[in-house]
Amino acid sequence: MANCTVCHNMNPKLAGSIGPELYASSEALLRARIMSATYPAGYKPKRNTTMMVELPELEADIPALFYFLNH
Amino acid sequence: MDLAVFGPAGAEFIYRWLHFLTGVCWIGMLWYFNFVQGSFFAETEANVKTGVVQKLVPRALWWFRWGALGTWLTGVALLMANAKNAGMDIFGTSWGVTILTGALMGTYMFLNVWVIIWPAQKKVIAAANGESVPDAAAAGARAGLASRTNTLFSIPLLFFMGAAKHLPINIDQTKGIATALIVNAVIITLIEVNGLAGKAGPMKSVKGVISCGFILTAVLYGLLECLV
Repeated sequence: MANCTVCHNMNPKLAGSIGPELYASSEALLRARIMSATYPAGYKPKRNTTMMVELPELEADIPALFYFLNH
Repeated sequence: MDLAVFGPAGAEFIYRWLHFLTGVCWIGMLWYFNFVQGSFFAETEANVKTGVVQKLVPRALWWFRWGALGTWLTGVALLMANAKNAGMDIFGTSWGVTILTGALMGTYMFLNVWVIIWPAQKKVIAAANGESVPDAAAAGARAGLASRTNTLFSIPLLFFMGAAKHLPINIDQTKGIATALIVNAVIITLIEVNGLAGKAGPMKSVKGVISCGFILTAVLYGLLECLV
């Protein structure tokens, strides 16, 4: 969470200072963004910015993030 | 061992660290001049004041003006690093609109230091050292007004710099940020014009300039929220 909220909003339904809202993100999207800073095939990004870097050290937290963003 | 400071974010972090260091040096000196030295000069003896202008003020102005230059240069470096890393669309985000509002005030403040305050203070110091400077009093007044304007700007400047990363503003993508930026830029520029050739008005007292700083912060922030 601390890594995410540098750019994204604490409230996932709102846009953050730089990153877009994350509410209802799929696990595939989270995994692609966090592990390789890419997007799943066919996904249309909400923004054209390329600020986000991969954060592979967060891999174990992806299921918990998915739960948080979808409940 | 991989050291984070040499990683992709390392250079940007170093710019930010130097931005904080030089910024604290600059704004600290600015507040010293406006909140401490001015009141001291108003009630001290003439010979003490002359001694302070001869020996203390030049030292304080050295840190003040080089702090201003360092803050501005590292700020520009940070803006360029963000644009390079993320693309120009980053300026259309909440970060973009707040950082650009702060950067405009910071740029005017930096120019006030190097174009108005420092040249004018050189005349004041020369006069205190016994040189004949006929317009020393006028130069001191001009520097004082620009310095008060910088003190006024410093309050919203720190609000917007902090807000850039820590107060996300909801941007309506259909409206964009252009109108808000233009309106705030006009207000900031009018205040800067007053700082060049106008009057101190309520900024004359310490209490007044601090109050005006908070009011200006509220106005600029309120307009931003209404217009994006």
